[in-house]
Amino acid sequence: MADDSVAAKREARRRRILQNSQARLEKITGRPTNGTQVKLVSTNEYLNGPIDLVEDDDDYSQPTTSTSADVGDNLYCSREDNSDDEYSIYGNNSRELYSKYSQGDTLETADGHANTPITNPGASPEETRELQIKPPKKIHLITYLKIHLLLLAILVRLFYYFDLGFVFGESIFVPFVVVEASHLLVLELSKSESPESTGIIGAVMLLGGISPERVHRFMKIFNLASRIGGDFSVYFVTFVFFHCAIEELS
Amino acid sequence: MHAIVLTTGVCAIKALLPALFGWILPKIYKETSGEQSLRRQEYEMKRTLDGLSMIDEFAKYAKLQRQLNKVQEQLTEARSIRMSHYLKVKLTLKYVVQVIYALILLIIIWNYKYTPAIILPSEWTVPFGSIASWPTEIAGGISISVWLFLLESSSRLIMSKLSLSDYSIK
Repeated sequence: MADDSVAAKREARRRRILQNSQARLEKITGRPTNGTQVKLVSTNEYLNGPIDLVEDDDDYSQPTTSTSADVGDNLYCSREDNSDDEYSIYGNNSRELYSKYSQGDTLETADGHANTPITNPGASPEETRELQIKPPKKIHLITYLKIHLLLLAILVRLFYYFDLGFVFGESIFVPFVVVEASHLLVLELSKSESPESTGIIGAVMLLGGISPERVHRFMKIFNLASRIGGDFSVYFVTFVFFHCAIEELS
Repeated sequence: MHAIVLTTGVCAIKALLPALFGWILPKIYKETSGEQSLRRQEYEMKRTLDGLSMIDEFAKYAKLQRQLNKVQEQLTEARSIRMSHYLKVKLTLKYVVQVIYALILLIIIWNYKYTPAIILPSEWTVPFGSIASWPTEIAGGISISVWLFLLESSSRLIMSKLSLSDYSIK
């Protein structure tokens, strides 16, 4: 009898192990289980070809959620569901992403037709990483290529041309500050964490004995300032060129 | 106006040079006819090897395998020589261009130190007008150094977004 119970327990344990074998394998290899797989695709690759950066999902019991990555820093998210042997296709030179979601989610194409984020109300806040999945939009391409700054500079110069500069206090910095601040706010609200490189400065600071948290904070501020400075240079240069063009024509 | 044209021209040339060299250098350092014939030999030998049975025709297989190894070594050596020349030329070009560009910028900044690149209405440049016009101290003026700095930043950013900032073979 005792032997029977031991054998039964052993059999039950063996069955449990075999049932969870795929989940454990995916946990070991770092791929999320439960048929979901989140892929981060850089913008460059999105434009020119797919890459595979797979996000882990440690919650095997529930469908995953995901927050969008910082598209200003060239990351998009999409999710594929392998539970029905369907897979997402990353368009190579075409810009189409197809995602299939389980549990009643809709088939979406990733050129902006469906932007409904996939959320899981039952997801616990202790999940190690939450990503909100949004298909990439054309607006992200525009902000990536700084087209919005070019257009803003042209618009501001046209405002001056038609004596409408009073709208933003006759200062060319005001529209830029507004647009840039809103852009950064959108990035912040989308809970994006761009991969920040420490570079030589960070490495020197670390070697100099400064704590990694301070270095990280400094590099975050430095990268933010660099980004704002770069955006401002694009905006101002475009403004000056358009100003020269208008002066020459008039 | 001519200061803007001059600086923009210099910056544009410098920004486009990597793309230009990235286009020219691979054509200069493309695969030679010797490498092509070695590659063809390698391909033929591999095809022949696939058709041979190692057990039944071991001697022939082994001889062909040795010949294939020799051809592959020659091919690897030829490629590494070509790539090392390519890298040397690429790095030399890169640093020579940067040195020349730096010298040109210094000359421009020295000659146009007190000449603004452009003069805008002073109310447009509030509140950073005084910084932007340093050292010309002309209200609404944008000095050459500030203009060059902004131009260089924007060109680098745009080129990096367009992936044209490298001299490498694409």
